[in-house]
Amino acid sequence: MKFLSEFRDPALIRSLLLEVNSKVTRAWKIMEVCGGQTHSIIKSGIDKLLDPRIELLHGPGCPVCVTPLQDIEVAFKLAQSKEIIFCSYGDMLRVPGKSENLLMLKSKGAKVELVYSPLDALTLAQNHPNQEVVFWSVGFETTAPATALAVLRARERGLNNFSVLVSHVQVPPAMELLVADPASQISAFLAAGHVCTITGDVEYRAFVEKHKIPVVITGFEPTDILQGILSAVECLESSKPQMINQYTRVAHSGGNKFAQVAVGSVFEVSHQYWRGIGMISDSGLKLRKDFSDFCAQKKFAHFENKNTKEACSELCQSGLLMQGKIKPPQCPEFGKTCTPESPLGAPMVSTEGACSAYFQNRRLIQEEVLNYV
Amino acid sequence: MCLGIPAEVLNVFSEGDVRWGNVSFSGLRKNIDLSFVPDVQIGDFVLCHVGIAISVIDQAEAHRTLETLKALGELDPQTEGEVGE
Amino acid sequence: MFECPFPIQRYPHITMAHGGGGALSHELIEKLIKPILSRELESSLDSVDLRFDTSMVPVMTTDSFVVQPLFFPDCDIGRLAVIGATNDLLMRGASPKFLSCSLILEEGFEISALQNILLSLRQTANQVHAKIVCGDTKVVERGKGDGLFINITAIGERMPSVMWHPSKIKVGDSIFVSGDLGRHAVSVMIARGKIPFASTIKSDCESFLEVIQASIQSEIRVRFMKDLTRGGLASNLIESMSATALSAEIWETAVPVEEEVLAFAEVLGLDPLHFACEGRFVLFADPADDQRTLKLLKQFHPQASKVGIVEASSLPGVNTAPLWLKNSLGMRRMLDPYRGELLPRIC
Repeated sequence: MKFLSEFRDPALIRSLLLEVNSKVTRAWKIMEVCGGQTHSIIKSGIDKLLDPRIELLHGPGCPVCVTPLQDIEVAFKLAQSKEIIFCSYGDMLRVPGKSENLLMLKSKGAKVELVYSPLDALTLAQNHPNQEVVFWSVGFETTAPATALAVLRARERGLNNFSVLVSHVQVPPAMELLVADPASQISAFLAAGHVCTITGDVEYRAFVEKHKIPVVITGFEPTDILQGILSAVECLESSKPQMINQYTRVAHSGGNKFAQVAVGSVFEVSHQYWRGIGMISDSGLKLRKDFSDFCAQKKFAHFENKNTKEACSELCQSGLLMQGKIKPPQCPEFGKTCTPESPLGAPMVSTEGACSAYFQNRRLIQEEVLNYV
Repeated sequence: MCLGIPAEVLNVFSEGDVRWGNVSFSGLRKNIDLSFVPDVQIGDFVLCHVGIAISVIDQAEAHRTLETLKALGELDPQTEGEVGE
Repeated sequence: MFECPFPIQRYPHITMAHGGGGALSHELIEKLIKPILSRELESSLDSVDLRFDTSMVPVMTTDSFVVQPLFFPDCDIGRLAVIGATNDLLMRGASPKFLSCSLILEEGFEISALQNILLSLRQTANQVHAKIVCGDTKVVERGKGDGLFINITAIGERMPSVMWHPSKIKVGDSIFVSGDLGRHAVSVMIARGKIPFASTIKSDCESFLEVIQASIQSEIRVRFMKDLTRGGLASNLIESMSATALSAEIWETAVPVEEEVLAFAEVLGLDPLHFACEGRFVLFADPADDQRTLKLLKQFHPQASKVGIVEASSLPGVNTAPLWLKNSLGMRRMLDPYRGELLPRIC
């Protein structure tokens, strides 16, 4: 596939590995923020091919994984309503709530539709004027523009049967939280290339200026990730923290202005609870008052259960995991009580979850070898 | 959720208020919303994410990046010796 | 050009009466089903005598087909049913001989569609030299049947000397695939219309008859073969290996997959190693026969490839030996069987 396969060329990957490894003189901990990058790293195995002094930490780059339990329970209640067609990305279908998931509800008769885009949910609403259609909008800054577009179009077309349940998070506040932890050992960040494609790099420049920690805007293919790591190592070894863009073919300094305008007109910043981590100020998005007609939570306020206790399974270590403090195989439940079929938390079922990355790519390494019975 | 795949724009058309691109992922075709890339042309490659194009791929930058990476391989000390001989 | 004696103008759709056993049932069988499938079908008997070559081993299989949609690029449920069932026989080295055909029709199903499916079914049976010798027809109420379900029971014969079985697999054996993978799953999924992509990909549905006959004649030391249907290469290999105490390593770069199938997998975040085929098989053979095996397979599909090797289990003392996938960097990861529900009703 053009502009994809070339960046997976094993010869180029090997050259980059040699180059990175030749530059390392000390131990560094580099955190990639995006779950898509985590999957790429574990699938290719480059974490095992790097100089062992480079440790890759996996950050909170999985919006599905950090969606609060309260939002999930609201989603489930909406999905079970006979008047609602509940639309969701495939990723959310198996995320466990307190005891069920959307797929189970679907098998019991709930009208749950898998969609690939919020625009598909909008089309569904237009084609079913007598049904309420709710779209569950989960994601980082990359995904918010599509939802903003859907809401703007719904308004232009005068639709009154379309609404969105918003569970959006933003990356820079999470990075701030991580480095504010006195125990943080993060030397550098690989920023999510597609998030920056939308937002541009201004917040990351400010971050580097403030914290003197290198940030490299990085893509998703193995060569992209290694280029990101190489830049990070060069900054660290020379003690010159910078913000560098290593995903120039896609992400530009100013980001995508059209997408930013759409997001800015529909959403405003809000405080957001991150499952397993806690409340992070100004780290989420919610619909502006002007668009409250399209807010599913307001429209169906009678479904909200304010008494939901915010908790994952007590055994799920997603909080520590997403702050880069442990890796999946270090969780005692990994692969034993927690598998994709019976997940204790979202990281095991999300396509961006670190646990699913490690589980799908189990390797012949002692701590990752599972006991089959 | 960050899954973004490059696709070639084969055709651009409008339907009402929406500008669409018929794009190809190595032959697999889909209609993608082009609202956020108004300057895109047929033959460009766009990065597609949840049904919309979020960026036009800078092909010159892509080639430049690949050339830089290939050059790294040429500087690989394991091959330098062979070249010197 | 086949002229159907069924009074299609009077009954363009299946009614409950067509399954009731009375006059309309009789008309459906005598004027539509029998003329297409086999004039020798005895509608007055519920069973048929079979004659076998006593020097051969009779082999039997049964398969039900619930594919949606019923028609997809280059194939339909009728053709799929015969190919699917008879390929199961051929994987044992057995030549297909007799078929039964049971139809479960939904009230309201179009007779013209049924006619086309039955014609395709008969044509395919002819191609694999199998006779349809008995059958059954039932009708269920509208909303209870999704158009048409087909069950085929197939009986064939194999030579006693052809003993392809997982117990024959040894450490060091070579693993081949007979052609490129995954086109059937992709073509069906796109034809279903719920995934908003367009493609020219056609199903890979085809009979193994010729390649199996050639394999038997070739004296290649085949250990075992398995067709790569539901669950794709990964699931079927895991199933094959689970009958042994051995492990296998597959080389990612050696597995042949068309660009468009790879793109489909990429865009949807799926693994092409889980994509069902309906005309591809995996073959375990003696490595000393590698050149001959590859030459034979490539006669039928240029993309046939050696994709891996059988090895001793990497996890001694563990019941289920893993299947490893080695990537282009030489890193190995365990493959899992397909566990999802995103690709339902593929066959």
